[in-house]
Amino acid sequence: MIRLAARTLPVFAAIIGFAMALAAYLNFSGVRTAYLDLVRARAGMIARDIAADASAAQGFGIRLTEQRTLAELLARQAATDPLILSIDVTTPDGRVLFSSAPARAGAPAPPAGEDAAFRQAEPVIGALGAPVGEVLVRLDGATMDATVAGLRRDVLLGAVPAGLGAVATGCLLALALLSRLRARARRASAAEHADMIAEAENEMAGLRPSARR
Amino acid sequence: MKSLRVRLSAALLAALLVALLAISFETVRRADAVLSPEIERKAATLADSSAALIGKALALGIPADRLHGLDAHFARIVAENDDISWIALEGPDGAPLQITYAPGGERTQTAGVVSRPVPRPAPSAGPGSTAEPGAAPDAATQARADPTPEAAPQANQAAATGAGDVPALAVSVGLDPAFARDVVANLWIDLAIVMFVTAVVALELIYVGLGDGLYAAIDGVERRLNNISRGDLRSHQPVEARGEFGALAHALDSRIEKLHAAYAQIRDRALESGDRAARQALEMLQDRFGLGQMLSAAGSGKVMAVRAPLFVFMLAEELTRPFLPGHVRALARAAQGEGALAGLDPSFVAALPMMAFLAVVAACQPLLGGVTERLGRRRAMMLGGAVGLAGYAASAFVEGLAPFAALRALTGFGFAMVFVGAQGYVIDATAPAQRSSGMAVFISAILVAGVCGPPIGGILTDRIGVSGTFLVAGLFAGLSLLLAWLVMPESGPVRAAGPAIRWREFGRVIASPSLAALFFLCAMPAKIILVAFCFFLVPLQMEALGASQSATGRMLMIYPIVMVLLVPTCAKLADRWRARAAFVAVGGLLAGASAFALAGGGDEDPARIALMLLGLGLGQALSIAALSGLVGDYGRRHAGEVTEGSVYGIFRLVERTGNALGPPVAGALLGLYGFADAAMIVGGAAMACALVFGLAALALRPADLDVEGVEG
Repeated sequence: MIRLAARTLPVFAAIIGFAMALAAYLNFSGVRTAYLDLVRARAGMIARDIAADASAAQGFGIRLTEQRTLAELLARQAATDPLILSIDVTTPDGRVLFSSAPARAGAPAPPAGEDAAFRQAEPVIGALGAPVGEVLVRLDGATMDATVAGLRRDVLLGAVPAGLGAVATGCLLALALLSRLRARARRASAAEHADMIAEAENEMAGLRPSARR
Repeated sequence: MKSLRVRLSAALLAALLVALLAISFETVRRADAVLSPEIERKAATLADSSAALIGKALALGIPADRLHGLDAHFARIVAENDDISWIALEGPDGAPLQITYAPGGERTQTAGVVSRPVPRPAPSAGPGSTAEPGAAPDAATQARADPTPEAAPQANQAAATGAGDVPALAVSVGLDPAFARDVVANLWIDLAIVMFVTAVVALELIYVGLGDGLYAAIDGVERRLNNISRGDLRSHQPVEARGEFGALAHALDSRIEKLHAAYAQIRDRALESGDRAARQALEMLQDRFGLGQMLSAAGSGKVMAVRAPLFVFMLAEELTRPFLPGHVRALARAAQGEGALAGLDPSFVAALPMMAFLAVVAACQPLLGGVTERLGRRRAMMLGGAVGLAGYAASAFVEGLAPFAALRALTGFGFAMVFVGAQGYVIDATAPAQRSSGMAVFISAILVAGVCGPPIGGILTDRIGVSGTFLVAGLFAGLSLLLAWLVMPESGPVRAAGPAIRWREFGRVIASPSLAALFFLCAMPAKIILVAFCFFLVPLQMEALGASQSATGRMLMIYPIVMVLLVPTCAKLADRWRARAAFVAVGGLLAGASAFALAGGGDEDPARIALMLLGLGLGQALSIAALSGLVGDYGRRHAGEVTEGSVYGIFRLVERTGNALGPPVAGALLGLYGFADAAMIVGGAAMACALVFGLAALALRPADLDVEGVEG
């Protein structure tokens, strides 16, 4: 039986281990998605509100470049949230007009691919319905990554005992089933076992010439 | 071994479920810690945003009790944010002037409420102050300035003292206390699928774990015990394996042999003595227990070796089902943006790489029978696995439509090699009498992969993207190679018997009205509608409806599940009632009619799409086995002209051609008429074909198309 266990249990252990790893990953990935969605939604709301104000001002004839009080609003808004790196208002060609971080004003906004920040943008719509700029909320990607990494570590570490338990339980159950089959076979292979073979033998015994005399 | 395999899988499933519960509870705890602060911050932002909006309305002179549209605004917020229970505009006494609840939301909770004051209209406030943001930091911006819950009292205080005669209003948002739990609960469908697939994979891989000899020994012991308990005491073919279970099988055999020897001795004596009563009693015993008889070898014994590599390769292809049409359409649009294939509908262009795969499979299958014979089935399957590995892995990195189509064609070659190699192995490993049970092992591996692949493919695509899922498919193809190498017996190359189909025979078969009707009115439309619906139209429509890839994968499970559950029963009924042609015609009608579940604007309702796939599955479950049986029945009428093997070879070729035609037909119709009309045109055509076949079968009976004259 030890040989049997040695041959079969690693396969069961591998299958259960794989399933547990996948389940833990799915759990982690579900919570990560919810976390990122929450952050994205919040940043989106902030960007939308500022863009709506700036668009409304455009509607009253104040061009985006002339909305100088925006800088103060952006700074106040950015100060409320430790995750916000900056809130920029940019021109359609990507130049930063106003920013919560004054040093960024006038510089070109880094393209999405080159920016380590988590970004959420909202267009500022002009009087004719065309975009005249963009509000860009930049969040601290490193802090978010650290939160996600902590979450991954916790979920995966939490899954280890459950996974090991599942491997042990699954292997024991598999072994128990094989042992039960073996025990059944051992009983059935014993000559005196009362089963259908014994029943057929009994019926045949009555048909032996010695029994019929 | 069937019942032990099922019990092992059930035990595995039980252990996995318990562990999964533990992991999920731990995740909920951790998710609460991570998500709660974010939910609170988001609720504060929501409250600020709404308070600022209301403040602007008040500044325009609209009274707080006449804010028309506020209910719709709150309803939209509640609908779009799963993490809040309710949102309210509250009066100075805290009583709600306007409140909107999420389903199940309650305002009785005291914890998890974020409040923000509505900014007071400044005496000089007017449209200008709104138009120039930040010009005069009004209460809206003040409220936005510090949305943390701790700052709320100060903000409230500021608002309350800002303008004396206007009562203080506030926007409050109630957080959903069960949000983290719901996030994890929403994963349970995916997790349940993972557990189910794990149990099925365990079932498939048990053979690999046990090895050929031990598997046969355990299988032999279990079969003997089951037969003995049923009173079936016929002798068994000996188990060759040694070891504990081999010894137990021998011990059981020796008991049975002893019984048989005793029976033979008594029977001989009864014959010698002329004891008629004893002879009659012995005959009754023989009938009851099968004494003096021997069971034939189990058909599925050696065939099991092919099951794991075949299953794993088929799983690789099935992983791509949910995303493939959408991915190819995106490539097609990009290619057309660069000027290639301009003027063609993107849906039709998207069908071309899929057609390339299926056309290569169709074209290669008749040719590869001899090739896999010469190579050896094991080496052929290993080669197919290697080609699949290269094809899937490279597909993850290409971005152009033409190279992608070329890689699909390459992968199709690998698929055909594995399919034909496995089919050939089953034929090699079984005697004609065991062929059906051997082929059942082959077909069930493909069907089970069809059940497991799409949902897992969808889950993977949602999380690791299309490229990642192609790489996983490549890994599975590589695993198939490894399994073929590990578990299949080496067989040397043999001289091929000749081509599977000769053109001369093809002409003879097609000239037969019965076979031509069966092939072109039943077999080909059945494959066109299957590929058009399951592999092309439904994934694209689910994408258009904004469904996740996981949801698409779950939708695509419906058809194979119905097939797995109903095909054996339908096959038995068609044979028992001697009505194969009727099953084929009715099944075709039902499959075609399923498309009309989309009539009347049902194409945007996932339940109607599911109903369509259910109808398709029911129809094809009725017809698929009966169709195969009819091919043999009709083919036997031409036994002098063509072999049965050729008739089946041509039948499979026609089916594969139908497969290859499915995507372009569906793509062209989709571009011209949209999803629902395209499906109904394909379904209507399939119904027309089935109807013509049914009428012809009735009209020509019994001359050529025989509805009931099925032999055996």
